[in-house]
Amino acid sequence: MNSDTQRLETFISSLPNFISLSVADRRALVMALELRSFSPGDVLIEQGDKGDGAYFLLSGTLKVELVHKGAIEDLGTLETGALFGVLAMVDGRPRAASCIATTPGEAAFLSRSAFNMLAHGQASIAYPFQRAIGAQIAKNFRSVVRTIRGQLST
Amino acid sequence: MSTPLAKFERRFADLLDHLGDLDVAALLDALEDRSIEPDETPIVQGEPHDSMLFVEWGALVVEVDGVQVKTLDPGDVVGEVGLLSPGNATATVRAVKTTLLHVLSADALERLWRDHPEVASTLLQGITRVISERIRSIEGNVDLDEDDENGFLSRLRALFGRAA
Repeated sequence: MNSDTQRLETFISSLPNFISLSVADRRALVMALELRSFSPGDVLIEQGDKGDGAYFLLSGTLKVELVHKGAIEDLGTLETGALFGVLAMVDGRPRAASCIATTPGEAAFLSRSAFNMLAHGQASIAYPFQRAIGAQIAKNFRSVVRTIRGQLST
Repeated sequence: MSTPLAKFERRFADLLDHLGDLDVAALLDALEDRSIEPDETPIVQGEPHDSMLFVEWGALVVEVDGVQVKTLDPGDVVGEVGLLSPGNATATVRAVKTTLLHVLSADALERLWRDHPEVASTLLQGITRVISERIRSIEGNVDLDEDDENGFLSRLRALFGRAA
């Protein structure tokens, strides 16, 4: 096993939703991941681009931005352990926002097609992933409601 | 005559779309029935909650900061966000008639996962899709784009829009 694979396995094992994965399932997931390094200013996800998969953030920090009516809206930051790009993972539609590196770091990309292949007929891998995606989408929902409530009260 | 299983399947058809009869029976086994009276609030904004509610009969409303954003009728579900990520509720759910709910708690979902992984997986996928669609529904929707109170309320209503 090379050092990248080992690092990815250790990372995946540290995520609460993936603790229950068997060694074989964890290895299959890791083999489907693609490690990508980034530097400050790199755009990992660009608003409007084709939604082709999701990322785990292994290290570093990203800012999330949305261009709305020509103005940039700051949607917060992503820290180590975050799973992002999930809306497009669910529906395959264009990216809803941009994710831009503010520090050097690494992310692991899982393409939508690789996920579908892994998950097909193998609920043991699909379910923890769906839990993680569902939890992230729920977090996004709460954040949107918070934003709108804030706008309503001003 | 229609069996309880067939009725449940028909009532929540959109969400249960990809589940077979046996799978729906397994889900039905995981649910707990709860009858509530008008004005009872099974979910309270700001308080912890972790359950999804299936409305079998009756009627409820969803309120955010006291403002009604949605009505719930038989066949609707609510509370999906708390099931996916237990935490403080984003809205209050209030009964306006005597209502029968089927409750799926986070613990029951975990048990369903252990006993029937395919069912839990398919259900989770359906719920996630519903919430994603609601988030997407307010993106770039010019009808909801007004930066005034009406625009914000329209966006909230779209977010809590009709469940699957």
